[in-house]
Amino acid sequence: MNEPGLDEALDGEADAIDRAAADWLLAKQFSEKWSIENQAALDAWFGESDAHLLSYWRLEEVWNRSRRLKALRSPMRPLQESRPSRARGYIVGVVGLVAVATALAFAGMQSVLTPDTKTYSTPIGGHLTLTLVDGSKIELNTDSALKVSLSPTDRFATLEKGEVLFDIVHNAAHPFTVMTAGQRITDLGTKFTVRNEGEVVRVSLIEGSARLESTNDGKKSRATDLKPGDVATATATDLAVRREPIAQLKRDLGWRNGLLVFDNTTLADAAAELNRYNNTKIVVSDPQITRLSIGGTFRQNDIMALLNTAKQVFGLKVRRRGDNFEITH
Amino acid sequence: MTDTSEMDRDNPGARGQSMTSRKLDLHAWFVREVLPLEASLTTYLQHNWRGQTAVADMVQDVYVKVFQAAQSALPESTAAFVFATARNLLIDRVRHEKVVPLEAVEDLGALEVAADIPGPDEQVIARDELRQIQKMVELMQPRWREVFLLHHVEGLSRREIGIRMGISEITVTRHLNSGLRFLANKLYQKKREPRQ
Repeated sequence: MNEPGLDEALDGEADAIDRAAADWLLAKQFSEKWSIENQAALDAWFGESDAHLLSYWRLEEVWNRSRRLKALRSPMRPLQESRPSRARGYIVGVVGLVAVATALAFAGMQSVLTPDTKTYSTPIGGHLTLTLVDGSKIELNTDSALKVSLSPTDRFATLEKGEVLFDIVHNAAHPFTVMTAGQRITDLGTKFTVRNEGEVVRVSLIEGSARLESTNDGKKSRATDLKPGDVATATATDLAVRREPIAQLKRDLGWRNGLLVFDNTTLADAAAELNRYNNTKIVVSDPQITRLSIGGTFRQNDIMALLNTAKQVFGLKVRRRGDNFEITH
Repeated sequence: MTDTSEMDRDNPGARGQSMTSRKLDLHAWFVREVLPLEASLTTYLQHNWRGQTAVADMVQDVYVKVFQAAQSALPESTAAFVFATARNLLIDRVRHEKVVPLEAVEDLGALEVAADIPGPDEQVIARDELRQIQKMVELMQPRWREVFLLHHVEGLSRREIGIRMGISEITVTRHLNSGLRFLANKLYQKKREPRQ
């Protein structure tokens, strides 16, 4: 380790400012309570030179972007099976973290013995796999939040937003229940996805069976048992069930590998789907083109692929609108 | 395991507390449109400058000048404005830096903004943030990386990291400081790396 002060002596001017800005940033980030006096001192430092403020903004941006690493947080216990390809680089690349993950996972297993509630979430474009102590697997898709409450007697989850795949190890004595937007789904030995689109909840049954019932007050509760291939669409008042080929439902799970599979999908729907995974949005409002149909496999983060398809295959125009893109004829 | 609520206290929303809305606009503009140009700007300065001042310092000078000019009005084309500012700075330095060798600026007359400078838009889109950050974090020195991941992935405080790694909180802070600057330089593709 260098002598204190030596680093600073070796720094160029920009480096020295970066170092000081990083110190301020860390002081603020880790402060239990950032007081008015603290902020005044920081503002005074900014006041000395615009270079201070800009260096701080630059590092703060990187610090905030680093928060995305939270999506890699260890699940309740280490996964035995292979992770989706998106996560693999991390597992291979950051060996040091495995020991940490194991230690924390141990703490996680302990906590399952007593009633324990945790909320897991993913940012836009994120993906998180959890393995529960009972062997059940849960995968969160982009921009999702799931509260999981486990005790020796109850298994309960609340989908606050987004989409989650549940692969539940059935236990008749302790069914696994998912609540979302006034709907309750109870597993009867199942693999299913639940997607909360605000007003509408969509449940796709891939294997086994599950029971769906509305829990809205004042409505009489109708329970519907779902079979593989069933896609239930439920609102506060209505429920519709349609049957899809299992192969289609499995294609819909492409998100687990960072992929979106479109098959005879309208341009508007494809854009909406891609938009779930990206901060930069694609707008398709021109009625002449919303119904154009496209097919193919896209990477979730590859907005350019869809824009290029629109340009090259359909001869459409793409223009920038603020942070977003609009496709027009 | 650390409680998630501990992560919440360092939420990004707190950063704007003392900023006016004007400054928030400038902040958003600087982060979104100026910073993504840093790699091209650095390359441009490296190719055209042989003087005494470090390129990193010149980049910072360009930022300050661009920022100050933007306070009256944001430029229509940020890229054109940033490179015009860089060009003026080069000319200015040639005039004032006494020890500049004659070849300090190559072909000053030809310093036009390169047509193929990637705009911030494409850079933003090309960026799969999580994957890119992971890749850069893996390039860090092992100790910086460990500290960085213990905080950002596992949500540990400096104190908890210190206990786990058997180092002082001050050392944890130094590693975080170095790791953060390294990551910023990597993400913005600067060639320089901070010293320990």
